[in-house]
Amino acid sequence: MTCHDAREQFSAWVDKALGVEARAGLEAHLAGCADCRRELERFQQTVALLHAVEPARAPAGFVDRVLQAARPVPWRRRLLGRLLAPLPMPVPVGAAAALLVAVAAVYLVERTPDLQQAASPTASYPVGGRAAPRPEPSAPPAVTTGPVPAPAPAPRKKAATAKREADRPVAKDARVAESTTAVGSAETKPAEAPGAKAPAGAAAPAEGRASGLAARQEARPDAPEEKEQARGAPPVPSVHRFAARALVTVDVAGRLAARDREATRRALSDLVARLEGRELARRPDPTLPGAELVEIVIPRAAYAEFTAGLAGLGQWTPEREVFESPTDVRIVVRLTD
Amino acid sequence: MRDEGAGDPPGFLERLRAGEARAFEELVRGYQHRVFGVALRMLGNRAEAEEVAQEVFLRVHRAIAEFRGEAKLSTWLYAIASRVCLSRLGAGERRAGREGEETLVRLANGHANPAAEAERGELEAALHRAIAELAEERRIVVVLRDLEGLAYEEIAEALEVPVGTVRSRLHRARMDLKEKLERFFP
Repeated sequence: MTCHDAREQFSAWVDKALGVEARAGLEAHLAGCADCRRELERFQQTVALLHAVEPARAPAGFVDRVLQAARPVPWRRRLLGRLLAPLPMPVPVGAAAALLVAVAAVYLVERTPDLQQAASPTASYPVGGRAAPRPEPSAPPAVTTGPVPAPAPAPRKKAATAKREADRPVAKDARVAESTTAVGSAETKPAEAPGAKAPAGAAAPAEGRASGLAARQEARPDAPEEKEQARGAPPVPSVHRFAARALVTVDVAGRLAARDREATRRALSDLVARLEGRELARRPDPTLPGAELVEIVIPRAAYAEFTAGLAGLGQWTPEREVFESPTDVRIVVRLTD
Repeated sequence: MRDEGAGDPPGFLERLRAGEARAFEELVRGYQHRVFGVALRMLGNRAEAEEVAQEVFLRVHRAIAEFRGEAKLSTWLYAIASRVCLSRLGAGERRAGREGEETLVRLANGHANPAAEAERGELEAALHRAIAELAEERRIVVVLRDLEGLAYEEIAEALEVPVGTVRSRLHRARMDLKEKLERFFP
């Protein structure tokens, strides 16, 4: 056995894996070779060092992390993951983004007086989508009806109506109050900040509806402001255009031609009260000399009866009918002779 | 051979195959240090070693129903651990590469404290450095044999190589180590 052959057996010898014959041959060589004995001693020391290495320990919490990772995913999450996997952007992110934009828009309008003013009814109401010029400073003051704060619910209000009130107390009260304020604004500050005013026909008097209706108004394809733009209305600063779009809230607008204006006015008030609606404001129509605009809110369920009642008062010509709220209808009646 | 995780109780494999969560937890608890140890010695980086060890157990979790029991459960675990480590080393997706291997010296037996390293002495540091410098196919054999205590046959089964190859690689690895450590021997 050569030294090379002997040293090739070292590993097996240390591990006691040599057969009897091979072990005897190696031991015989070692007995006569000092170099190989020294090499074997160093080899054994090396292996002893390896065996003395203390075992490594997994870090704390390792088991919990493995178990967490191995936990089966609920079938709902797996299904959702499969459904959403092909989409370039997860739907929840898109929905969250849309919600964020909507909230930001409402916040912006509510927090910025300039925007609210831009949406205030210093311009006349867009009956039938017709463009209306801004009122001149000398325009006659609008007439508000009823108390400025939100009127108390009628005693004979039905349970359903009361529930509607409970569901949207802030929006409804704010609508009435701010509508009145808006009319007052037209009275006292008609020429204020012309550059900040909304375009003709773009603004509605009900600022208070902005928070509740901004989203649906934003999505409405036939928004009056856009119609006015298409019809050559003066260009509007983008921020005001945005505010106006968010605040236009008229559902129904039309013309009521009557012989006796005063009698018709009273009969209209009675009709509105009978249907548990409210007359929000009344003011001269700046677009039509001699005409008068009456702004009304009635329950949605009573609209058919309302139009039937109007027909009994005079010649009612609806020029716009878009119902967006399931609970009530906001109407502007242009009273003419 | 180190006994941690050895001697699995009767019926343990059946419970594992049946998907019993408690059995899998026992498996992880029983073998966590050994699997992590193999990964640490092979990769030289604790974070990467934990990542690989976790992957090993997740693979076990997915494949346990297909484990036929022809080999020991521990051998099967070592086989998976070895494959994952060698795959990681060979795929070039190392997080720290050579630097990670250097950390093996500092992490002697899992201690990252420089003071502890000093106490353990220059010899041990040299040993770990020498292990880290071994060729991968030799290093895994040394780790499985001299650090984890597997038999030649078990190593051959885990690495899917002949026993003779295991002997040869082991011998070469030990000789490499001896040559690098000779200056410490009288």
